[in-house]
Amino acid sequence: MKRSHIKWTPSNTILFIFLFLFGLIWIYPFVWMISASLKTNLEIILSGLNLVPKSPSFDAYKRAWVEARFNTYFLNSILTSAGSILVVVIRCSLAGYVLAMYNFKGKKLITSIMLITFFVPVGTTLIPIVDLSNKLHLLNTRVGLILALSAGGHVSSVLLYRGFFGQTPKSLMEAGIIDGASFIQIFGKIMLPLAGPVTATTIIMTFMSSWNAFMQPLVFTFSNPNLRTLPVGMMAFSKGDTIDYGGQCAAAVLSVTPIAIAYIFAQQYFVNGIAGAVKS
Amino acid sequence: MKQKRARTPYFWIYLFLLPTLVGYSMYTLWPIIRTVQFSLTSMRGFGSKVRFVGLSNYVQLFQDELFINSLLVTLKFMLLVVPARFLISLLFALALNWKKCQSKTLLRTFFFLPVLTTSAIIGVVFILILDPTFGPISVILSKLGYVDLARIPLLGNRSTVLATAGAIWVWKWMGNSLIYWLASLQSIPDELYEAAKIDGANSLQSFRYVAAPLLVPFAFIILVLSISDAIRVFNLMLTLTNGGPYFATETVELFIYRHAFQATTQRMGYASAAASVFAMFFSVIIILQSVVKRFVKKEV
Amino acid sequence: MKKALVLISLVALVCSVAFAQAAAEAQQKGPVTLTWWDQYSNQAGTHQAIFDAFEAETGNKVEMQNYSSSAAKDAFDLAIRSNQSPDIMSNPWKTNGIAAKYYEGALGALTVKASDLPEYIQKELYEGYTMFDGEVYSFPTKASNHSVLFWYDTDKLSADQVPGTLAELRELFKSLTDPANNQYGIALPMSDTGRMNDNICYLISAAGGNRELNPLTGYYEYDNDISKAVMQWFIDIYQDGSVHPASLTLATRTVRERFIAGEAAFAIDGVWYPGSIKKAFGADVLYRLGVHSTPVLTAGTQAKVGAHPVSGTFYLSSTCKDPEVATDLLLKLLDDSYAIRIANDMDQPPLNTSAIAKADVVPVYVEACEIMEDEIVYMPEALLRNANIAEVYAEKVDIKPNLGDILVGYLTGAITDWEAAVSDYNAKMNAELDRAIDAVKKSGVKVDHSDFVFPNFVPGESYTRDMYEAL
Repeated sequence: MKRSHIKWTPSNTILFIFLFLFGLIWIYPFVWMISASLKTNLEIILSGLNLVPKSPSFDAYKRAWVEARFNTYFLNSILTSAGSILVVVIRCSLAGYVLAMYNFKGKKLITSIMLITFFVPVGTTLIPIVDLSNKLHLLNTRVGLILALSAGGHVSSVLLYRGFFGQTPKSLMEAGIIDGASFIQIFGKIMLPLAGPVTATTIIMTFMSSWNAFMQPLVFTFSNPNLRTLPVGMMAFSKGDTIDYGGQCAAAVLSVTPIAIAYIFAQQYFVNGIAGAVKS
Repeated sequence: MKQKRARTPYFWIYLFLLPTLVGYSMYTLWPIIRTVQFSLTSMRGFGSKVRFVGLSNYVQLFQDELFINSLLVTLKFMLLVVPARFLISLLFALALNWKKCQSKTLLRTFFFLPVLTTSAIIGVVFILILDPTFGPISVILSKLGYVDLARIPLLGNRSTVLATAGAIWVWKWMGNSLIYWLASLQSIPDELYEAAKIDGANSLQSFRYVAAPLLVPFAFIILVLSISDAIRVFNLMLTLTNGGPYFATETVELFIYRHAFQATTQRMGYASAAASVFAMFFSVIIILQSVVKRFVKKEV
Repeated sequence: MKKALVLISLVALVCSVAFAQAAAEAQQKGPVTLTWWDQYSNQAGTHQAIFDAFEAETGNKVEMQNYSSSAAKDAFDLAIRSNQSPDIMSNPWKTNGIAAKYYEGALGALTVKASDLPEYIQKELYEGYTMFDGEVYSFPTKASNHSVLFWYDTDKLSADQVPGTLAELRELFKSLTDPANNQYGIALPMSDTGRMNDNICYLISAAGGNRELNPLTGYYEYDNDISKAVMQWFIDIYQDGSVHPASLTLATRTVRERFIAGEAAFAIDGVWYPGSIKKAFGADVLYRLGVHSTPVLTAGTQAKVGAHPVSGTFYLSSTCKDPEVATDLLLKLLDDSYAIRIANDMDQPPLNTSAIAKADVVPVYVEACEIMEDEIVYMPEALLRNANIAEVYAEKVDIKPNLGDILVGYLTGAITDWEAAVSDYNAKMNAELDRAIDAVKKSGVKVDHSDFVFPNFVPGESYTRDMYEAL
């Protein structure tokens, strides 16, 4: 984004103040969360509106990170998301590519089945997926969870790749054929690099969905708490046998911070990635 | 074209399709079929004895007041939050899209922060923030002298809980729609606005006559995405209210989850019937939506 | 030629490595690592100490995993069904749910005979709970208990101020309530309607009704006067404004927070209250806990709360790696030192109640244990008479809304006629019982509704083992 200097005028100052006040409402829960994470449990209840803790302590972070095992949950969330992204990018780019470039038997059928099932809710398929994973001995495993999050669905990513490859000039492919490049080389060395923006979109979309995924990780980790992801860990922490508001808030801060930092540095990718969903 | 077909590399095509075909069949198509199958049985939990019971789960389902309730709750929630998310995000997008707007990036970051935060965390934190005794809202109200008002548990009161959960949902997802709108607005070439300006249109008119018609297709996509998000609200409700008080926020997905996993006696067959009906309900809404879309397109 | 030589030597190498490894593995079959899942996080330290001692003595390791009591059932069920059970697990199912697990094939027998167990344990072993087909599957380490002890804040009132009847208690709550200063009579876990349902049923039992089935008829009687009076009491105290307003979003654990913050003078919780408070808020607030016998409807009557005979605390899974080692480990739990340790944790009291006196506990915990000993009576249990009843329990589905739901539904305006809702619930519960019995009967299993009828039951008195035999 261009960092052009915009002059302050009365009208844009008023708008800015208005928007900024709304912005404060938007981030107030985060401020409250940070403040609570530095207080003791009783102070959270008794301190009213005061956001500044009496004697700030990072104890809650230690409790959340070590005792409540958010270190494990965090790693799990990252591994699960990374795995899902890998699977989705590979399978959707491959499928989108051939769906865009070639005519073959079954193409229409595949496309229309995907379109019909575009919006199948998780709740509808969850029980059979757990049943299937159980039979394949994939329940309570990370691979099983990653597959449950990435192997089905994600129709929009297939369509995004199909749309993109459909618009790339065929001459590029033909030039590759003339140069003697194999099918895989054309895809891997010429076409996929071209699709960088779509891949970025897919990565962000898959990341957002798997990072926020809840129902599948919840059920997949019922009997293997070592695989809990952040959202599931958060619920377990809040519904556990002991009450620790400060620890919960610290856990929340710990879970949000890295993503917020990632967002600030890769803002453009996030924005384009999310916007890509509309553009498709 | 015909020459090419002779050289169609079928082996590679199907190899490339294989991961998606296998994954999609196993994790989307087969589960849909199985859900319908399960819904015709007395299945309790995984690995339990299964009896074929025909349509009796469905019959029972439509006599189950709590299932009807969950459909209504889902529908009400959708009608409550989708327009709010749609309009609020549009307003903010228009403001942020204004050339003279200051600190766009900072403001966008503020609005986007909740989108990055998982619903489970939001649910847990908002229970604390909305607490009727120590929560900031309650403290402010009671400091202003409205003790009775302050002590109303927003999440424990039937008349406020859905709206409260809705507000939190809109708060969380607004930033997402905001980005959709900004992208859509940016796809409108500046020349069009300038042309309108030359013609003497004010900003309201240029929105009405220049931007609005071009935004219609985007608006539909944004609407569909919001609707599908709203109908599938699960994480937030589970952590925020667990469907309570008295099923006032029990959406269909929570109903399914309760019968399949939470109940003392699990009822997967029954839950599967609910899941099948839910999928139908969901498709009806999406289809209705696209019918409306076609209708509007003709009008425009 | 050279290639062949290389190939042969390679094959030989691989074979010898594989052989060596197999040999090493065979030798390793000494110490094992057992996995242990339970829902007693208050006692994690106690258990860990036992595991450490066990490892030092035998070389066998134990890996412990704590679940919250709400998550344990789901977790264990799913693990059983996906063949990933731990070697040893606690029993998060309702007391009479363990038999269903046995019939599912989830449990494994201990390698010990009933006659080898101490006397006080032997008399608590029941076929259908801890014994199946004459084999010992588990034994109780903890005494039976109920969860409707009334705890009060001694900073706010003294023991002699706490009355014995519900009506008087209601008045006391009123006098303790002052919304402007965040003061309320009681905080209730109303977001957890399952727990509220239990609380209501326990109080019904204390008031002279039945927590579950009436053993004389074999049917539920939630629509009688006693039950309705208890429901009415909850409604009254709520409408008086004596119930903490956050209650609708509180669960049992979060109620404790309000109590310690001084916002609620009373809380209903189990005997483990001091243990949980100590763990969450430290020992210095324990002095504030007072406990009182369960309030009743009619002045002068003694509360008698119906409970099941105790079932086992820990069970082996059918996939247990080494039942002998696991049994040895469980037998360590019979040591006096273990009973004293559980008492120290101030959780559910040990079955060996004599240990409480030797333990380092606050007086209020001892008092709570004594109250329970006075109040608890064993109810007859159909499962202990006919083990096939396990199938009826597995067939029976939850009826919603339950009493807890109805209470919340009425108080939040979703239900206008709660008495009708209670009658409806009662009718549905009975219909579901009949349906489940019929369904099981049809599948050829011998069960009958008469299994639930105990003509020799005397209300308010414990149903003893010899009474089953007298049937």
